[in-house]
Amino acid sequence: MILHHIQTSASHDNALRMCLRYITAGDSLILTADAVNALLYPDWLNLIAPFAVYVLKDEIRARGLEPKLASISNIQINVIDDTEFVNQSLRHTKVITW
Amino acid sequence: MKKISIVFRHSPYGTTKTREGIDFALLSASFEQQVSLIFCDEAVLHLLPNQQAELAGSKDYVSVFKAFELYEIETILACKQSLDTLGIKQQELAIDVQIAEAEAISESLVHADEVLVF
Repeated sequence: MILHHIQTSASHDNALRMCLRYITAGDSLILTADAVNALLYPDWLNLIAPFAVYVLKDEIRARGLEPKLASISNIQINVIDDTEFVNQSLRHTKVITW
Repeated sequence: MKKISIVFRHSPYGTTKTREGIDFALLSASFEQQVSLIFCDEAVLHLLPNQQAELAGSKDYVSVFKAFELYEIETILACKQSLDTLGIKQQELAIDVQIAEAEAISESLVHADEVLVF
């Protein structure tokens, strides 16, 4: 069970695309920094839907994206804090930062 | 001793990522770690022959990849989907690598103790 960490926007870096090519069922994704923008694209939302998805609360609030997240219905986004990020990193077998 | 997988996913000459990844690979191998390399996306372009890196103001990576055998880095995978997308056939490649389907690469990422992406 791997935690895949994406830090860049999918519109100008292939980190998320390559991650999704090799991710296996049961793995999780954490989107930080500009990677959170993927949540605004229905196509990316559908592709990440099968996996547990985490985002950092401060990064969502920094970008004023809370209302946008609230309107996402088809998948569950886990909004967590840094402490929980550490917990998730420990709970998974390893973290891959793409 | 750890099984370390190093994934190259950036194009050869646009970033310093390859340099960093190679340094890390050689360093890990020299510290007796079991290192395997995975080339995917535009990083498969590293594997093309007849490159003249100096013309791009860069170091020649292919010669370094050939030296990997000396460091006992035996497992070098290249993503089949990336090669197909870029129209590159195995016979063209400058070094011999295992052509791997996405599932095989996923498998190797699962079995590695650590995975670093450059």
